Amino acid sequence: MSKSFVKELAELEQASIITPDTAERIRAYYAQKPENAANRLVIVFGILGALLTGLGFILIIAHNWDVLGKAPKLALALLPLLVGQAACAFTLFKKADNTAWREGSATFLFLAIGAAIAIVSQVYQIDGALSEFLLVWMLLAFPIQYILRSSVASMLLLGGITWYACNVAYFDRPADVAWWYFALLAVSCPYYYRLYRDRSESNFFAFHAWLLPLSLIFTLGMFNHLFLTSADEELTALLYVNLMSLLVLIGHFEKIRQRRLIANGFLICGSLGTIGMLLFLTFDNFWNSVSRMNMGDALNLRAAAPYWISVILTAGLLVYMLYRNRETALNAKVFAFAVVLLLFLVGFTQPQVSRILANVTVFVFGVFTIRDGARQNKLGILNYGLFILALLILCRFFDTEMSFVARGLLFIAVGAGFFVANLRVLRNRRNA
Amino acid sequence: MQKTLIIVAFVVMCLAQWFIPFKTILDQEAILSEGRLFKLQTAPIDPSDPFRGKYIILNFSENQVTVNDYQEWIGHEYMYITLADSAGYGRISRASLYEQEGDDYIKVRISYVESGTPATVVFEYPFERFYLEESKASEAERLYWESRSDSTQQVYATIRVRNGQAALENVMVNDRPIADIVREMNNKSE
Repeated sequence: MSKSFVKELAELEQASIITPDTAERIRAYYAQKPENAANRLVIVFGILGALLTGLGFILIIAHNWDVLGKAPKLALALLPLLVGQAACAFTLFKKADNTAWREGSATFLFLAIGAAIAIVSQVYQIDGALSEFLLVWMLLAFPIQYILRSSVASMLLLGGITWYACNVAYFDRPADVAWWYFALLAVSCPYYYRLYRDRSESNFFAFHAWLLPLSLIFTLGMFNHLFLTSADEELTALLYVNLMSLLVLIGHFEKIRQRRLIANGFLICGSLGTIGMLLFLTFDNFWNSVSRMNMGDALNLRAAAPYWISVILTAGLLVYMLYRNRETALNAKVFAFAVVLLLFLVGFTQPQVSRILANVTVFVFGVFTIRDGARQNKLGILNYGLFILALLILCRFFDTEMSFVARGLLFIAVGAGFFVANLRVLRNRRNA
Repeated sequence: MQKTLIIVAFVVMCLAQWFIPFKTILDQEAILSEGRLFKLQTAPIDPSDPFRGKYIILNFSENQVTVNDYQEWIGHEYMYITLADSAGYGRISRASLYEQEGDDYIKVRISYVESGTPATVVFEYPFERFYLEESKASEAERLYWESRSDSTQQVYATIRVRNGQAALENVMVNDRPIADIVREMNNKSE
């Protein structure tokens, strides 16, 4: 407990603002509260220290000292691994309940594994592909998150497998789907669930709530390789729309929603992504290419299997969430995937209708967001809604035949909307 | 009970973490000590690898084969080449999409297939990097380019081949290790 706060308590007690009993209970509460600020600082420095020494070790060994023979070089390369494992063993036996020790030793071991593989490759001049190196590293490191209950190890793993997946899917020749990414993500899910169940108020949970959606967004494009139709690019775009709806839905999970909005990476990524994808669908190009396709070929169950699987997953979660949240309203953007599927079906014969409806959808989402912001009395959300409308108009600025006067009037209308809406919310707050 | 399980898992994990580097070391040592020696002519440049320090990229002159039916080779990731000694240097004596008889073959990655006449298959060796001490890499590169323009210099990599696996042993300029020459040059300039 901070010293200044103790003084404040005594002062409040003397001034008879709180009873001695209440003061005592407050003291007792803070005394038994496990995670105080000082403790958090120790954890942060423990992790930082492990990260920096681990990286420093790698850099020093990477100098590739020629004065040393092969055997000393190899011994030096494997030393950090030994130190990391020893630190982890010590933590397991003596400091199992100390977060700083667990996170620090786990971080160091995680990096030491990478260093050991890399330096052995260097000594023997093995020229392996980066993706193979990352995969071996991640496979050897994934148990750390469980054994040491380390969130930093979990985040490093998430970063590593994302890097690996991007390499396999976008940079390797021939590019392929990174199935190992999903395997390692799947075996990490119990860890994420435990974090959600037991420590949803921690900072580590908030970091995961950002890293997971970002990782999925980075890697989802790999499924492009699985589509067997000429509509692979269009289906990949639709796959992303489904992912965004899924992310918004996950952002509605009870314990995530209870956090501040900034900690809800799922909702923010999903919402921004939904609007981004929908704005993309308001342009001509997409629908022109859709209209040249055959619906039967493009949406064939086998050829477009990844898309249909994602539709089923998203729809399943939507039904579950509707059932669970009967009292509270879901964000309208969770329905985006269904709307886009309908637009896509219409687009094969009536591309212009789909394009116009995509505009309408963005407009409706904008209006709904403004309404939500006004209802919850939150300026951020309200302005986000207005921003969506402004973006929509900006996009139409380039490709419609509207006269300059009409466009000008539209911009003035949205600008005025920003002023009026913000003023109204601020006035309401003052009156409340 | 749970504690025991965690400790068992920890021990298994630690063993696995030792197994991979040790297996690499044993495999490489076996190739280097028992493999057959070949010399391959090369040409390096010098980028930097953030994980593995400084290295030079070896550009082997023996990096393609001519084929009759190029379409047969499209869509494959790997191929197998057999090396034979010719006038002191390794030359490709045979190339195939399938593993070959005898010890002196290497599994290589196909880069691309050219359909011209004659059609050629260009490939990459599994050892195109030679790591040097950080301070020596760019010096070695300069030396390499100089020796390359000087046609009297002979530059080659020595490799060892055993049971379809190959390991890079050294890079030589006029029969001397490149690291030695660079060290000598550094000593002179100091």
